[in-house]
Amino acid sequence: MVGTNSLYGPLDPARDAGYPDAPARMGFFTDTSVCIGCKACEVACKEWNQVPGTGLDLLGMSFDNTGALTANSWRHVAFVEQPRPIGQQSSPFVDTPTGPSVSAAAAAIGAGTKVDTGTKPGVPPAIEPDSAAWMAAGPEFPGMPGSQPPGRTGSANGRTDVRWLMMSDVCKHCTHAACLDVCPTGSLFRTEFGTVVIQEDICNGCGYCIPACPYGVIDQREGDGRAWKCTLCYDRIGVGKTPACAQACPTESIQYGALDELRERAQRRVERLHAGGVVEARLYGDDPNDGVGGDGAFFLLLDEPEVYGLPPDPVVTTRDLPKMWRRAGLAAVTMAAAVLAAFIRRSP
Amino acid sequence: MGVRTWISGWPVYRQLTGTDPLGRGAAAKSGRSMALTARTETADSMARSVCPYCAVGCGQRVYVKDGQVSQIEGDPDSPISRGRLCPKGAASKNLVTSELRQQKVQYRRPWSERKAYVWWDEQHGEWTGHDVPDFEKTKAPGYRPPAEAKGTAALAGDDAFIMQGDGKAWLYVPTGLIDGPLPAHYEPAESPMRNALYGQQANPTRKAYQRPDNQLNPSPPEPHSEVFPYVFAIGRLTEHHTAGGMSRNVQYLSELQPTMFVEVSPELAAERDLHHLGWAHLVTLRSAIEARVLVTDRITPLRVDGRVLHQVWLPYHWGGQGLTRGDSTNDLFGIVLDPNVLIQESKVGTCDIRPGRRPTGPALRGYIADYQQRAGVRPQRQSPIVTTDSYREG
Amino acid sequence: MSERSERTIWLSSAAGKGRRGHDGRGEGGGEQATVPSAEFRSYYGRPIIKAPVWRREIPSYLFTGGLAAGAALLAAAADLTGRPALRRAGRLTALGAIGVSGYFLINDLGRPARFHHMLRVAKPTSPMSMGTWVVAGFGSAAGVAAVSEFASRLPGRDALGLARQGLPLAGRVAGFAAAGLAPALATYTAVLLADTAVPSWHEAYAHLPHVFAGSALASGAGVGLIAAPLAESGPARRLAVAGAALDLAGSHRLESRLGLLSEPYRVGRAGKLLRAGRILSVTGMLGALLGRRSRLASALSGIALLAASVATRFGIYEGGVASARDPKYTVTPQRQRREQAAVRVDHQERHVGSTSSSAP
Repeated sequence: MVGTNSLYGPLDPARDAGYPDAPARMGFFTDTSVCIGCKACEVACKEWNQVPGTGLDLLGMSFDNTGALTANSWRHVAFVEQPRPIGQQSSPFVDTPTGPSVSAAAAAIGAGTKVDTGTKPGVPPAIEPDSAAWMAAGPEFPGMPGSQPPGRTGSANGRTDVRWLMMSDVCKHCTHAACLDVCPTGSLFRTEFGTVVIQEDICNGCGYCIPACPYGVIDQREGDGRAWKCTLCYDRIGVGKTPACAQACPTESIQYGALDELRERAQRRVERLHAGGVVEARLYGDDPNDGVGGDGAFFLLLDEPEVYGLPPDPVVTTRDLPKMWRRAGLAAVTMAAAVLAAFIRRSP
Repeated sequence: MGVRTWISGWPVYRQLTGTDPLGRGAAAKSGRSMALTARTETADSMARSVCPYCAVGCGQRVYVKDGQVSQIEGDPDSPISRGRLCPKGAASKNLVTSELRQQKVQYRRPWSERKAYVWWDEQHGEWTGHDVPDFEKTKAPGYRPPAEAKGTAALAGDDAFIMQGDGKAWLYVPTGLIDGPLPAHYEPAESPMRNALYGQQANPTRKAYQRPDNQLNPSPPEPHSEVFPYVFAIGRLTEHHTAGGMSRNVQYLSELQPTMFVEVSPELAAERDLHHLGWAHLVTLRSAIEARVLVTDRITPLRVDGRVLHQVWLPYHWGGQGLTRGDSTNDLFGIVLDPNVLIQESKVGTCDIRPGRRPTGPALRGYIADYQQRAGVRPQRQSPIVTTDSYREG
Repeated sequence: MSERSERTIWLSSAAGKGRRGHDGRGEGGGEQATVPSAEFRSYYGRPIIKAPVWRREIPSYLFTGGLAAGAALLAAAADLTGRPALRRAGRLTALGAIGVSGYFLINDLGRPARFHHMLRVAKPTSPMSMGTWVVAGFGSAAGVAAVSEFASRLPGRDALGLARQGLPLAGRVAGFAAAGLAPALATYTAVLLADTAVPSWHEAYAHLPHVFAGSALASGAGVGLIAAPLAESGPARRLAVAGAALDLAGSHRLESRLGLLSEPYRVGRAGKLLRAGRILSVTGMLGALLGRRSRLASALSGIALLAASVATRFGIYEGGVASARDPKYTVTPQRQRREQAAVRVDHQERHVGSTSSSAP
């Protein structure tokens, strides 16, 4: 039933969407600290959901030849090569003839490649490749001893070490899902599991969900005309099976289960990593007080969200909708008043 | 369908009368969504199988509907894989149902009359058939050697395992290691560095086929090893499988790694004018192959024996057929075999690397001939196997 | 290590267009080449959100929908004040414009045959859903109102004769209904654009409705100026001025009050279109005021106002799309917000943690 937080703020989305006896909310916890970049998730998802293939393009984005989440790639494994800062260690490459890092420069080149996804808008090339260079220039640790400005990592001898970030991106199944809110046909709907699913028999390709998503997940398939995205394997979880990607993942980087249990597990994992010296580990999308009410699919990241292509502070557009309607109402009243005023003078 | 049913199915009506006034959940659910179930639940049958790709043997469940494979996924009951799969295993359904597959099975069951390729012709007293029998032509399958027999006479009529001298497959080696039993450090057959431990550069018992078309790059103490100053190492990608026959024909795998590439360090890229995403070709005395370049910090030059040694890395999954095609890395290697099991030494070698694509056709042969000349290699040259004499002299 | 400078060798093959060069950055070039001029990070520079996939039909609909709304308002007011020529021009334009609008909207769908799915739900959280119902209602009312203009052409006998008698009244009622829905029709599209993640649209939610309302009034008035005789065009003139003023005020706020997010409205294609729209608006406004004695001048002002509306709608659309394509418009404001929030939390913690503080 509709309540005070129906549009924004912490919420149980399934109950709000009309399922009084909803089961526990299900979701994903993707722990990128154990991802090995094998892409089994991408393939298993495509096999189960019979998603069309995409183009064969070498993108130069490290080992990422998919580019981003699209209507034809519902799981996307991101790769970022960065120099690893030295801190207090000695460089593993002392006395080897290495020069400065090239991760940033290579990333800037990869930023310009064309990605043939068979979808719109797909993955357009970068407008500012410099932002790619900064993404790949190394992690920042504000306040940490030995932290360096981007691009200037390690000793003057040259390269330090490399770290290779890998992350399996997916639809976030937000608590407050803008795509769902704006869908005019009811094609997008909230399931009893709290997930957000597109009904392919209803979608008429109006495209409104596409610019509404703050994460840039949803996309339109060319030729087909409809919008497509991860369904959290609604057909599988409905019969008690595990989503295809989570089942395939060899390292259990992708974990599927009840969302509050996943959040607890994730919190313990972050604490363990911090205790082990991996201070850059942080959770993303786990907080019910964030701009989308917390994600049904949340992540453990090892750098800032924008390095992985995630928005730093996403807010569901529906938060401001009541204010928008009020403003429109004001403008509408102004219109009516203007018409009356224009006609009120007695005609000559 | 009556008007009432139609209206009560209309989401606006359900919004007005149900628990979902905003129309974001229960009210908007369509009939198809309500009836949705996993196709594994409605399959006609399910077989437990093992992934056809690598040797790990992850368990798979194969679901069949109407005589077609409808899903292949990991088997959670397998103690090896617990339901998980790498991308190749996950792509098995596409592999199995691909239109690019051969439709005629070439599998031969043992002892099947219908599918025999070679057989014993009793009347003529010889092995014969559709294929050439790789066995003594007139030795009957029932022949059993007498105790004192020697040589090939000691092979029984059904000792056809030609990989071993006694015609039998071996599970272990009790005696007869040609090379061993204690390990020693040898440089690979091709190396830019002199063996720092022994005068003997490389394995003296290796099987080399000294032919004009199987020249090894000159390695110390031979002169002109600087013509091929770089080391190339080859390996696997998780998205592809061995020579690529089972992965470069599968769309979902090919799109993950769509092109043959070579990884080089930034220092080598500067030295040889190589560009990220540009073309380069690698050259050995056998052939040249081309690949797209990835300039990456993950490859580093080494300082070995007081000088800089550059290394490059190549995947070996490409070939001339399939959805993605490229030059085959194995074209760079010559044939040098290990003496015990005759496995080709084909994981490291020396090479040159140059920007741009390689020549094709006769021009390629001319290009290699040019390298041969610069390396001081004549067609009849024999690579030295034993190098200790020259070391003493040096 | 090689003596040759590694400064830009591997950079020189970068894909050409739009790339800022790193050449000539001086010694130690490899390292300096990695210090970028961008102020934000993004995954290989790719956009974070997805730009709208709508084609030209949608900004065209913004125009025709607004035109229909303005024309219907004009027609209803003309009906009330006895200006039959103005009324007729308004009613016919309203129907024509909403008809063309329907064509645009259906044609832009990925699956046009499923257009009726829009009527499956009525979601207040979806401006497009609400708008669909408004368009449907408005279209029906405008249709009856327009048809009633031809009542006099019907024969006087039998059923058609009844229609001939009843239509004018039905048309008047329908005309008022259309006018009642017209303000919603004109402004809901502003909410539609703002209710997305597109940065320059979302942050502009306070201003877009005024721009759209003004533009709708001005284009409706423009039709009045073109089609009505001089004697009946007084209100259209005044409405043109009011609409254009509202439009210009709103557009000015768009281009100046949004900080970084105003930039897409000032530069590039969007900037050109909005500037053209401004010039045409002012021209139309002046022409409406000064041309009260010339039919030609009035008509030209009307055309200018219509063209202004087209240019403004397309300019706003293009500006939004540009802000979606460049990740800096998404990342930079969000990162600033995060950092400000962190600073606030930091201050709070200091206040709370301080034992000898006399802070409030």
